[in-house]
Amino acid sequence: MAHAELEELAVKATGGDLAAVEELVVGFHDHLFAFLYLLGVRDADVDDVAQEVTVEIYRSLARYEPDQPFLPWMRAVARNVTSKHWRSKRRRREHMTRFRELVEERLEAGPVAEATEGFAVGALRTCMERLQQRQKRVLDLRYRDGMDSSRIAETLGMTSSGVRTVLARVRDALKSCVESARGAGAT
Amino acid sequence: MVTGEFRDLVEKCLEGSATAEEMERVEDAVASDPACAAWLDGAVTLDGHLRAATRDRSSFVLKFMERITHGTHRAAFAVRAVRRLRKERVGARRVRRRASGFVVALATAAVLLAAVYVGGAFDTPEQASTVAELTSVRGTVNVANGKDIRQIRRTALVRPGHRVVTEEDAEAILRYPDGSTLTLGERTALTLADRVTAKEMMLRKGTIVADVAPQPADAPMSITTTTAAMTVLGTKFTLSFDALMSPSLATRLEVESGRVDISTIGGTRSVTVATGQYAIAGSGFELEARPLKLDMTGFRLTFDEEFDDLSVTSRGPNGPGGSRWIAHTPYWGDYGEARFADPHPGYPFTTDHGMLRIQARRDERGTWSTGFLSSVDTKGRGFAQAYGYFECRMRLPGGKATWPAFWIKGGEELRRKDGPLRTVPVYVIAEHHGAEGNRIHTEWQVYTPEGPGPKMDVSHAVPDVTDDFHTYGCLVEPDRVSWYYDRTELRSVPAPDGNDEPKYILVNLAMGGGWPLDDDTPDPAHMFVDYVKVYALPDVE
Repeated sequence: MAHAELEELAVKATGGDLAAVEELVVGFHDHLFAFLYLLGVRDADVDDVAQEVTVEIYRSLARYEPDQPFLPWMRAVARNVTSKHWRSKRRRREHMTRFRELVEERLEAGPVAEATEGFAVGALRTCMERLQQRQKRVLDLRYRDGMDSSRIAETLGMTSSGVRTVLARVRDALKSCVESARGAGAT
Repeated sequence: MVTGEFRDLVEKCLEGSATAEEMERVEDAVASDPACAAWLDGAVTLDGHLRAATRDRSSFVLKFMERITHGTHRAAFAVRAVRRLRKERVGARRVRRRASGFVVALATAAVLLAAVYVGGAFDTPEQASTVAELTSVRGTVNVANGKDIRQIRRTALVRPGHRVVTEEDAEAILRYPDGSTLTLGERTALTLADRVTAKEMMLRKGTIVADVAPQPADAPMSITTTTAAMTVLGTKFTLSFDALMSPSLATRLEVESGRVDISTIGGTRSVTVATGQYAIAGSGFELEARPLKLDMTGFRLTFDEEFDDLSVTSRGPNGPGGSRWIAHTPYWGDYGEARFADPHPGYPFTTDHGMLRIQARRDERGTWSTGFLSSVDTKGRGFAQAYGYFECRMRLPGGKATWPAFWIKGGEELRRKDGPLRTVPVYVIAEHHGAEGNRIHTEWQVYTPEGPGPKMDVSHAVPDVTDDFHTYGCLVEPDRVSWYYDRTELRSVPAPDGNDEPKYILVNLAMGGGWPLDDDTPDPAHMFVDYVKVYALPDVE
């Protein structure tokens, strides 16, 4: 969904149009989850946090300014809710690895936020459908079933490094597919 | 430089299996090499979006919508929706009287509910607050009460606050003491309101067929979805709430007998849907009551292809002295993952007892080919008609990556690589992605000299496409375009620009459409077409 559409829906939703609220949530779902993962929210918590963010956005819609870009606003709300989540759960330190800190630094500095902003979420879903069966299977095990490369390797009878190579290739293929879709005007 | 080793380390970091030392190496590489830093930014962004895209978006959205439209929010919506309906239908003075009457009714119901709740301490909970009985359960049917979920084998008593959920191929009948029944189709979720009255409910997804006994005027049955609110005083109707316009949800109401008031939630429109009518409420749809069935009185047959034999050439000419169909698109270029084959005896088209078979198959080199029919050739010779009813009776192949379609297209832009000189429309009467099961797409789009113009693609759940033959039709009138499945209207829109352009017919079994062709794709795949017919409108042509 184009960013302008999100803004238009947010304005409609402000007026109490529930169908627009629903479309808005469908439209920002992927952006929100991707952002929460980047912030380091874990799989086990991400649904609850995302629901809280979405409720908070719904409650705050009255304050949404029509000219305001929607996604940065959504991310600000998501940051606030996520901070509260960490404060209440005291979980952050437990899983804040050095790598996650590095990602957060990149996020603060801007480049990751920029890359996320411009990411064509709709195109990614289409591109995933076009993968070969084997690539899809590896991707499913990694993301849908949350397995790491050694468990995927056990399941598929491969080596861990072989699985990681396949994953890296799948990422490359998806990246170029998404970029070409964006080049063709898809969002 | 982004080495294979660096990529492997990042992969390990992303999946959480990297050691502290490995993370440090990634950190060092990112700090010292901008290429590594840029690569990492792309990798973490894609990783986040991949995780997001593999989540069940519709469950999340439904859960959220239920949250904001349930409990106090939901009751307020129901009250507002009913008030709005009444307000629009009667004068301001009567509205005040009725609204206050409604508040009294609510207050009375609340008192009754409180009495029932207190009484609950003495009776068994089932006796105290049962509102309906779940009977004739087939397949997997669950009743949920908060987090407590139990599977129902035969019958169950259902109380306020319960949610009834049917799974694939399942069905259940909810029977009320007054004789009203609600039949829940497969993959349906219905929540009974947890306050005020037993006959307030929310259809979260799926289909219900309702046969409602006459209701008291001041306490009608009320059903809401996230896009519509309905008040029912006694009638037979079918209600489905579905991803009608993917990805957003819409409510479709079909009334067999009686009347149902339907109102858009949060919007301002409401209509009464009477016997033999239907309405759709959802983003992108105009809420209006329309006839459910097509009335063919006065229509005159102008094109009759029964496929007793097939007159087809590779590229024409079509028309008098030539063939009736060509086997490629008449505009610029074919499409899909399988090439459209030049016709030869026995392939890709065969006719048998008035039935056309189009075959898609893979040859020994692994190349797919299939069949395509167009009623005009590249110079526009052949059959085209501006207005009328275009219908095809067919059985579709199903299976991954099959992509059959019956569609009509304005003919002006034939063979022009740069697009049309005038605005022309395309109406996809039925397009089927085999992997989607019993769903078909209807679509309109206009092409302007400046490029592709507005469009609207709608995905409809239908009873069947692959087991039996069904008719798929499109009624093109000067001011409206309407789509039909077995002559039941699926949807209708005001005619888009360029609607007066004569339209030619396309019937094809394309392959692909977003799905890869692989070992799960049926080989060969067959599409059967019984006939293609076009009628002129009464009194117009």
